[in-house]
Amino acid sequence: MRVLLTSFAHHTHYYGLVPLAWALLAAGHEVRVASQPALTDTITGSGLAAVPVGTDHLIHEYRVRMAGEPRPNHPAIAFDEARTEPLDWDHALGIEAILAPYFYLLANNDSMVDDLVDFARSWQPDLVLWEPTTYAGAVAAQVTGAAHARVLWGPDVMGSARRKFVALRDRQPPEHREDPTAEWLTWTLDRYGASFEEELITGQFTVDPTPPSLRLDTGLPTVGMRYVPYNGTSVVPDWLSEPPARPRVCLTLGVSAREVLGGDGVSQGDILEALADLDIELIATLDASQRAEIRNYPKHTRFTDFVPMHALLPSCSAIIHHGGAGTYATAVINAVPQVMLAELWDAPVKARAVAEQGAGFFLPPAELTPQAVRDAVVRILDDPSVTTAAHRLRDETYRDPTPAGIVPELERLAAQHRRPPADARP
Amino acid sequence: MAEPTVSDDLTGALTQPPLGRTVRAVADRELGTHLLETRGIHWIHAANGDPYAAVLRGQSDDPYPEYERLRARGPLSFSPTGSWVVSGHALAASVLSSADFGVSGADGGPVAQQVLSYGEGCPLEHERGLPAARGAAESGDRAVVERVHRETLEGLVPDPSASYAFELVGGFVRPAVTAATAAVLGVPSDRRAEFGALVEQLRPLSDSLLAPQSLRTVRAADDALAALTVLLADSAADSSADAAADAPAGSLRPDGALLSALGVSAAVRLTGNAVLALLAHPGQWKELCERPGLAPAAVEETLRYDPPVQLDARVVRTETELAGRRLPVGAHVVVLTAAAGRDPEVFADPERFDLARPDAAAHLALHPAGPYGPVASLVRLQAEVALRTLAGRFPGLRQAGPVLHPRRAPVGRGPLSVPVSA
Repeated sequence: MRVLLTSFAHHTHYYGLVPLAWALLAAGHEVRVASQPALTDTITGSGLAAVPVGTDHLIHEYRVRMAGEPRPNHPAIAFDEARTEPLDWDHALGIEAILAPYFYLLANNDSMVDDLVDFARSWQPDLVLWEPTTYAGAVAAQVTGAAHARVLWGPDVMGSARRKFVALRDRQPPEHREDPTAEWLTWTLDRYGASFEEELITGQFTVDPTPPSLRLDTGLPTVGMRYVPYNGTSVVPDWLSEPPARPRVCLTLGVSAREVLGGDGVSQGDILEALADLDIELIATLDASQRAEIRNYPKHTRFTDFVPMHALLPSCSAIIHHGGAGTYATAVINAVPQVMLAELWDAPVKARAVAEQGAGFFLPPAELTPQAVRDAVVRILDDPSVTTAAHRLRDETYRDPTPAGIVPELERLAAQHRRPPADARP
Repeated sequence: MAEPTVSDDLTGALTQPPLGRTVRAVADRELGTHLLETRGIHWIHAANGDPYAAVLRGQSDDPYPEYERLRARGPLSFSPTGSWVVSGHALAASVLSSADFGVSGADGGPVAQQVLSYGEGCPLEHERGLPAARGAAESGDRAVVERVHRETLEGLVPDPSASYAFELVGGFVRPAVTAATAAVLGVPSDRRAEFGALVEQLRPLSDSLLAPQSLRTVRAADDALAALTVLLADSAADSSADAAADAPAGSLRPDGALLSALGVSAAVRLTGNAVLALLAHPGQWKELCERPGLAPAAVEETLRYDPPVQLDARVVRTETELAGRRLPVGAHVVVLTAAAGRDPEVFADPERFDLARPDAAAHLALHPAGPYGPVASLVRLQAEVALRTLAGRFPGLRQAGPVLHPRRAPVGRGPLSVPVSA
C-alpha cells in the first residue's frame, strides 16, 4: 500500500514516525514523508523520501512576537494534562482558544495543508499517518478517502485533552458552546468540499508507543507499539565503548544555563553544584557558553554538546531531564530510572506516571530545589527498588510488538477505513 | 514627571494586526484565522490578569466585578489589548460628548482594536449624526407598540411540558419587540418572519466589532445586514402602495430604518435586564404593578444599573489630553457606560436598584452621541410598554429557573432566556 507520513517541521516531533516508516518500507510498502521545507534535510537524513509542502511555518516568529506575554505554556493558563484539580469548561476552552490559533493553525499553515491535499490527491495514499498535532494529515485523508491514524510521541495528552474538552463542551447550553479547533478544520475542509468529523482530531485509530501502564485512558481505538528510538543522525563517541568506572548519571535539560527552572530560580549550575560531592560519572549535555556559567561539579564530569541518547542510556544508572518525549521513552526502554524536572504540557503527565510506577521521581517547578534533585539521584543509586521498577516498565514495553510487528495490523486497519474520496462519497 | 504616552504602552501590547478590508472581501481562511487569533489574545491577556480582556472574552454571566477592578485602576486605564478604558462617570461623559472622538480612524476605516468591519452597510460603524429618519419614537408609535405587545402576550402559549409557565425572552419580549418594530417600520406582514430572523442574526453585531465571534456568526451577520437593507428598502418602496395597514406613513431612509432594526436587540436586552432587576429586588416588581406609571423610571434605572449596551468605543480624532494622558490620533478609547452607571462618586449606593432614585437619568447608556443614540427613544418606548404590559397581566411574575446569559457579548448585555412563573 501507499503510506503518507506527515509531521509539521519540528525534528523531535518527526522522529517518532521514523522507525515505523522504516518498518513499512521494509515490508514492501511505498512510503513518503511530507512536511514544510525546513524539515526536508532531516527527512532525507533519516533515509526516507521527502515531500516538501507549503511554506515554512511561523511558530518561532509568533513566539518572538508574543515574547513578554504569557504564552500557551504560561503557568497562569496551566497547559498541562497533569493538573489534579478537575478541569472546568472555561479552562478547557481557554486552552483550546490559545492552542488553536497559536499552535495548531501555525503548525498546519494554509499553504502546507493545500499542498499536502494536492499531493495526496495526486499520489492517492491508502493510509496517512500523522504526528498528533499535524491535522493536515487527517485533512488530506478526509479529502482523498485514505485511512488515517495518529502516531504518538508519548502518552496521549492530545486525545485525553480532546475527550475532556468534548465532554465539557457538550454539557454547556448550545448557546455557550465553542470549539476553535473544529471551527478551523471545518472551514479548511470546506475549501476541498469535505466536512468535519471528530476523527479529524483524534484519528480513525492511534498508534501509541507508551507502555500500557503509562498510557492515558482516552477510550480511543489504539494500536500499541514498542518504542524504538530514533534521535536523528548520530555518531557514537569513542568514550562510550569504555564501561563506566562509577555510576553514570546523565543530565540533559534542553534549556540554556541562564534560563531558570521553576519558581525558585534553580539553574543548571545550581544542580551541578548540588551533585558535586557524589561519586558518580556525570554526563552533562551543555554547550560551550553554558559551560562557562558552571562553577562547581562532580569530579568525573564529561561535558558534551550532544550524545545520542540511545547510545548513552544503556550505560547509565540514572538520568535527570526535563521530560522531552524522546529522552523519556529512550530511558524507559533502557530501564534507566528518571528524575524529571517536568513543567510543560505532556511532561508532567509522563513524570507523574513514571513516579507512580516507582521508576523515577517527578519534581514539578514548585518542588524543584538543587537538594531535591540530589536526593532523588542518591535514592536511585542507593535503593535498588527504583531500578527494579524501571526494569519492570522496560519488560512491559517489550511485550508490545515492534514497528515491524504492527505492519500487518496497519494493513488490516487501512483496508477497513479506506473510503472513496470525499467528493465521491454519498 | 512625564506620563507615558500611548505609544510607550503599546510597545508592550500584544495586539492583532487589523484585517484592513471588510468582512465580505476576506476569504474564510483569513477571516477565521483572524477571529481565532484575536480571541486567543483576549484569553491570554485575561489569563494574565487584564480585566478589560476578561470583559472582551465574555465568559462570565456577570461583568460587573471586572468593571470594579478597572475602576480601582482609576478613571482611565490602559489595557494590553491596546485600548484605553474609561470607567469613571465624569471622564466618560466628557469623552462621549467631545468632538475630539469619533467612531472610526482618521482615514474613515477601523482602528486595530476594532476586530473587523462590515463596511458602509453597518450603521454601528457610521459617524454620529446618522440621519435616522425613523429612530425617534413618533406620536403614532406608542399605540402601535402597545397593541402589538398586548397581542403578543395574549397569544402566548405556555409550554405544558415545562416546569415553568413560560420563557420570558423568547416567549414574549423578543417576539413583541420584533413585531412592534416591524410594524413601526412598515415591514409588510408577509415579510415579518424574515425580518425577525434577520434581526436575530444581527444580535451579535455590536459585540462582533470588539469581541471575535465564530466565523459562521460573522458571515451570518454580514449576510443579514445586506438582506435586511434590501428588505427595508422594499418596505419603504411599498409603503405608499400596499404596506401593512398598521404602518404609519413610511418615508424612511433605509440606513435609519436599519438602525431602528438593530434597536430591537437593544430593546429586548433592556427589557430583560429590567425584569431581572425588578424580580431580584423584592418589592420593586410589586411597586411597578401597583403604579404602572413607574415604568419609565424602571427603564431609566435599568439603563443606569444594567444597560443593554455596556460600552461605547471611540477613536481619538484630534490629539487630546485625557486624565493627564496625551492620547494621539487613532488611540482607541472604550467608555464603560455600564461602569459609569455605578460610579459611587455620582450615584449613592450604586449597587442598589431603586425605582425611586432621583438621578437615575444621569446614566450615560444609549448616549445621544453613541451609535444607538438616534434610536434611543424607540428602544425606551419598547421597554417601557413591555414592562407595563407584563406588570398589568402578571403581577405575580417570578423567576422559575436559571437565567441564560450569552457568551462573547461584552457590548450587548441581556439574558437569552428567563423562565418565569406567573
